[in-house]
Amino acid sequence: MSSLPEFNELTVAVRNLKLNYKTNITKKPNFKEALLHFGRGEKTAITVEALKGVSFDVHKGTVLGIIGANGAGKSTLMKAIAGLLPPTEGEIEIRGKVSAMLSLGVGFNPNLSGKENVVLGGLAAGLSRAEIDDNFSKIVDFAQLHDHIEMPMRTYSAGMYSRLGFAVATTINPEILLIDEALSTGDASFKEKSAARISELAQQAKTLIVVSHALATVQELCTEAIWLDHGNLIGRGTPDEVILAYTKFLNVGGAAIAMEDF
Amino acid sequence: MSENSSVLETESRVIRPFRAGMPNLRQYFIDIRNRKEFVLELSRAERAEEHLDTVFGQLWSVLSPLLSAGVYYLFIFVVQGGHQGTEFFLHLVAGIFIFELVSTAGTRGATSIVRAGALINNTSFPRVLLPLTDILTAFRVFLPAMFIYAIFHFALGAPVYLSSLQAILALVLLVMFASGLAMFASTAQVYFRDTQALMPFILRLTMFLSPVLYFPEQAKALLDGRLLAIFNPVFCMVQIFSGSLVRGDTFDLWTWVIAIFWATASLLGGFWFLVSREGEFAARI
Repeated sequence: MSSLPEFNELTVAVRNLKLNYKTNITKKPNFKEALLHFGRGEKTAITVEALKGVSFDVHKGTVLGIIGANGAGKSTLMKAIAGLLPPTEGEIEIRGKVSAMLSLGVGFNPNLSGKENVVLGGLAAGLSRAEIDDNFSKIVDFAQLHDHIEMPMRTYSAGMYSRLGFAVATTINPEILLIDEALSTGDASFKEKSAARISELAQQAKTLIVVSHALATVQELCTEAIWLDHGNLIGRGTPDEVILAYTKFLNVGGAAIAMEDF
Repeated sequence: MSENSSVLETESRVIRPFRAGMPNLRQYFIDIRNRKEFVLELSRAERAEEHLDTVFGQLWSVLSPLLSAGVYYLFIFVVQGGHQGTEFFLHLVAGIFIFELVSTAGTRGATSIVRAGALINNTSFPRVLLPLTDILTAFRVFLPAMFIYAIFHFALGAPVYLSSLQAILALVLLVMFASGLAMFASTAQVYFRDTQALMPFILRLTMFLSPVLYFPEQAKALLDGRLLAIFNPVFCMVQIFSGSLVRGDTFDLWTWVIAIFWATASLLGGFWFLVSREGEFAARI
């Protein structure tokens, strides 16, 4: 891959990041399962070597797309940058406030209203009540949930969850924004709106790191891309270069289906 | 949690591997302090969700342990063949109420981390705040119960003792113990999702082995209750709480030492268990 022009200020530096984690074999582990596995001499958890020494830098104003097949380590990398999973080796230097929209974003208690979930999510992230109140109307406006914001989130559709999560993550004025697959949900107008918001944030010299299986989204939104495979960094460069290498690797060329869903 | 996990407050930080499985505790406590508002708001929201912030909701929450006290009193009345006296009734009500605090902390606390899965998978913050929120909620439900106890106490003409102030210290110790229990149970629930289902049995057993349905001196098994006092973590705490409140009892140093030991062991042990495991939560939930 060709070397990229240096953007000005470094915001995220990932240095030789190795990350192993243990995860349950069964979806809902319990004592009964544990005893049965123990009786058979089987393990109830496995260690996953998710990242195997990944290094890269991200600079201000960069929209970095992370691509790769399922199990490549993309989401683990995002969780590590967000501080959710500690590294096994290596380190991550972060310069600036981080906001993340991973998993479901907001909405951890579906029985509480959208408003309560926004407030609680913000407070958990370290925002003050005043900061949340100042931004609340902007969040509701962007998410277009005026009629639903006081309703329990269990009544929300997946698109409404997604809109609210994206609105919260992008409205609280982060220097670094992490978005994992959030752009693949929602209708066409939301995708357009969120793409515009991403461009706007990039123009404000914010740093964005986006994970998406939709290569067209990465090509359209990102200024740089990295390709992960089985926990290794395979390639880095402009989105066109990395996507070309990735699709060649997958042996699917530039077929439209690959651009939308890999 | 990252070593410096106050993501939105810190401008520059380096996330490194945990040392000996633990995050930087200094930073961890700073993060806890900075999120007091989160705990208060989450507790308020959850109480509102269960209508515990209304008069009728609070009455309902008191009614349940009160009915339990009534049922146990009737049971003991039948078994013992007579009225056990005002003192015993007050002891029973105080014991049931204080045990309800421990019980609520254990059962609610068990699910505190798992039920916040989406938040855990999206936001970096000290996970210990989740069970502590349930302790706050349980404590807020307990306070009106003590108001009801006070009504019984005065209505039945029971005297007020200066030594009853010891009950406040016992309450502090019980809250410490309940916090540790909630932290332990919430972490265990991540690994074994039926921990919550086991908690009622464990808690009921603990209650039967504590001086709730009987006075401490009535325990005859296990060297006249001496082994129970040592090995049942809440025995001495409940004994001090109820004994000082109802009868104005004072207690020897040994009783206090046991109570303080178990409260501290539970708090520190539960905290260590949770914090040393919380780096795995985002992968396990």
